[in-house]
Amino acid sequence: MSATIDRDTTPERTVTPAMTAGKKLKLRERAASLGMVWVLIILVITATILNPRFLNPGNLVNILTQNAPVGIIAVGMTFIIIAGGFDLSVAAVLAIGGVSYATLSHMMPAGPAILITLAIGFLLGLINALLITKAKVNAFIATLATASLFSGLTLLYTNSKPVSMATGGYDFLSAQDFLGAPLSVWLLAVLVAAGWFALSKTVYGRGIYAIGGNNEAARLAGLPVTSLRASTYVLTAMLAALAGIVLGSVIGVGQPGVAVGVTLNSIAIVIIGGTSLLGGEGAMWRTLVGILIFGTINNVFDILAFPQATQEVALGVIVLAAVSLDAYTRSRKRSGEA
Amino acid sequence: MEPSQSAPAIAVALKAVSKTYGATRALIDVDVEIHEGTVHALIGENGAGKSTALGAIAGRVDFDGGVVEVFGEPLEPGNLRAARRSGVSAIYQELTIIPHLDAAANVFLGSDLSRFGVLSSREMRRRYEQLCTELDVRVIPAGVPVGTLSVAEQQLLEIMRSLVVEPRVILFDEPSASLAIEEREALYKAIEGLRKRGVTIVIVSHNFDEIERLADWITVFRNGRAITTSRRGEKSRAELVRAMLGEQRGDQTLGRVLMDKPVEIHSRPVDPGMAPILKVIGLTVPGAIENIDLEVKPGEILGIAGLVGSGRSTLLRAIAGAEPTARGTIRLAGAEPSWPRTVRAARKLGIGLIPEDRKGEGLVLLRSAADNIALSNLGAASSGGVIGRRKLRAKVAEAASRLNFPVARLGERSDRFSGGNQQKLLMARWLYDRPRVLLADEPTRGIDVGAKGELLETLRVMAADGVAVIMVSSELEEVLAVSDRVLVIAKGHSMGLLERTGDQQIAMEDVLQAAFGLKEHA
Repeated sequence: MSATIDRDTTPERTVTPAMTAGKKLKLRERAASLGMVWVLIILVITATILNPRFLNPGNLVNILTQNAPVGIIAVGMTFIIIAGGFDLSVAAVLAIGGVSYATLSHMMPAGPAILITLAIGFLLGLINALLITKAKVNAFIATLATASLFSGLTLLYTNSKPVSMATGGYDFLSAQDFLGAPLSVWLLAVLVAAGWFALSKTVYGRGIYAIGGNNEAARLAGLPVTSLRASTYVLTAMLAALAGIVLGSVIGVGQPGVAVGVTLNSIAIVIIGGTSLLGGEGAMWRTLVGILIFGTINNVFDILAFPQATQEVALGVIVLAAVSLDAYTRSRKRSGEA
Repeated sequence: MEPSQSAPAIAVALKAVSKTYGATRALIDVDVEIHEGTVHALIGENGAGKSTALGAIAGRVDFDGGVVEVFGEPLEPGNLRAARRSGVSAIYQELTIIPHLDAAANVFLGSDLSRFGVLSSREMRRRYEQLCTELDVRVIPAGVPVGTLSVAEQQLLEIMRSLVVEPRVILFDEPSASLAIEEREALYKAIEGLRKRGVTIVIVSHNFDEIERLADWITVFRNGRAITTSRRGEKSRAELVRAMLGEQRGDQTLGRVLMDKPVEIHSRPVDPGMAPILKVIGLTVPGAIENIDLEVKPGEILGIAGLVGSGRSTLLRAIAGAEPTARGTIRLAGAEPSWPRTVRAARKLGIGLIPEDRKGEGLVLLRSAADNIALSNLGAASSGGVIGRRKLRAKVAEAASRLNFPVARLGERSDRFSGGNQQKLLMARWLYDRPRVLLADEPTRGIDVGAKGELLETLRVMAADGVAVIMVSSELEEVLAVSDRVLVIAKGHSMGLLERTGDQQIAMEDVLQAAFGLKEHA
């Protein structure tokens, strides 16, 4: 007669002291999980001291307008990272989106031009998704390769020259205001809200967390793991193409050159918010916090006329802080369970 | 073998040893004396403190009260190297074998080679073979890459490695847990060989057969305390179980299965005239199983018995759609769909799987208990893809409460639960999302005594609901205790079907004979 014992689980039968410890742990965990919110608050206070007009509605709208494109991509990136994936091709897709929209603006009204551009984003995302889920290429490598492929093709197609956008309202996303903010800011707001809803309230969202947390368990429970994973890349590529349209309507041209920073910044925004790169954990509100932190730093440094390089230093420090905090809470949780 | 009667020396003494993790008291004033040259077993439930006590001796656990003495010398708490210098060597369940190196290289890995001067590979081989003979085990070829060896052989290498430094005390943490029954003999022989050489052995185990065979002394742990220490044979198995669980719980049904005779968990006979809901004909998974037929009726439990490597898990996984190369015919409730090649396809047919590896394949540990129960069918509590929070909670709580899972803790992350409760989550998943056929792969693996009986009864609960259950377990007693019929397989082939006759449980001997191919059953 034999049986084995699971040694690495919590001794549940130790009653009272363990339970209070559990509560304490939870409080500490909760404080730590809000860690980046504290950082945002401190940043905002600092920004207000340095620039009394920081909290003016005009300045806040300005921050959001500037960061709408990268923020829109970060919404998609949140899905990918929670599902345990990675996408390095978003900047290239953004460039294609801008070029496509600008090119199409000479041929058709804005509506169809947007739809076709989104369809192109869909196809590019599908390429990433098939490489990752069907050909089983590591996501990092697959999107590194497609990033190069996509941007190379764009440069060839445009002869490395910006494509001008037709006049006549094609820039409505940045030019038209609603309640004091350009449509692009509202677009970002709607996408963040929709992303939050999808992740936290829907069957689809639970599936995304499940495949990021334990793909094998999700598969053996009968979840459609392949299509769930594929959907995150398709969604993100479509959002990147949309970001290209937004950026194009701000600068009035489709830029074929890839701003590599966009990819890294969109990932940084997700990580800063506290979503774990290991997958299975995170939330859309965290990405919103990440967008605001990112935007605040940019804004403060711009106002103080610090060189761009110092911004990058600050961003690097903040990303490191976020990741260390994540690792720290993780190790605490583990020792709490020992 | 009785321990030496002439005032045996004390090899290891724990004196009022305490250890606190946060607010959990893992060890409370533990006093244990371990006599030189004996095998001393530490037993107890999950979290009872036995592994922590072992860790204190090994220098792995930094205990915060009391003294551990090794041959009279106090040990510095939490100092692995100091413990090793005093002659203590530990072998853990997770093997530290490097698969690409050969057997001899693994044995001498990390050992102080300068002990032998400049060690030639010939000298290593010689010493290696000497170790094999000392241990009284079949010689494993020194040059064979360790990755190709069985777990049992790897473990023997690990024991040989510990012998290189000539330890006086060897600690074993559940040495047989990862071994198949037929592989355990070599380990037991090795341990007996060590005792003969005068080495003191402390073993944490949960296997009563093993304890009765090996241990000269047994200390029972419960809730961080050493409850009682007795000589071999002094206490019956039932008395030991009672000491492990506490008077009250020990007398309850929970320990039944682990008592001397498994008690009938089986409840209600299945109507023999009922048509099978699942029929599998000619199931073949290339390289694993060949041409297996089986059928199972609603309300029935079909046990699959076989040795490790017989293909029993593959059989289950093939029916669950997790073996893409599987071929065969499946008839489900009269229909004849094509063989499911994905788990999703199988689930759509109404087949649910409880995977063998609870943590690796069963649960999303970062997610809440409730989410894990609902994982296979989140749609059941949603409309238009949007989850109805209250509906989900109610449905999940209903499933959980039927299995005595603490409903108040459903919101907690699943990695916070004991193995038994985690297993209940997996089972509750299929009470929440009712399959027609439930496949349970090793549903009691790594579960402590208390929860084991309860989980087996759960399978019965499911069957009573009209689910057809197919169960695989390496614990044959459990298969026999719950199954209506047992399909015996060996080397991927069906060796026969054993049926219970009336109230008579299927005899273990019949199963073993079939499994070893000694007797063909119709």
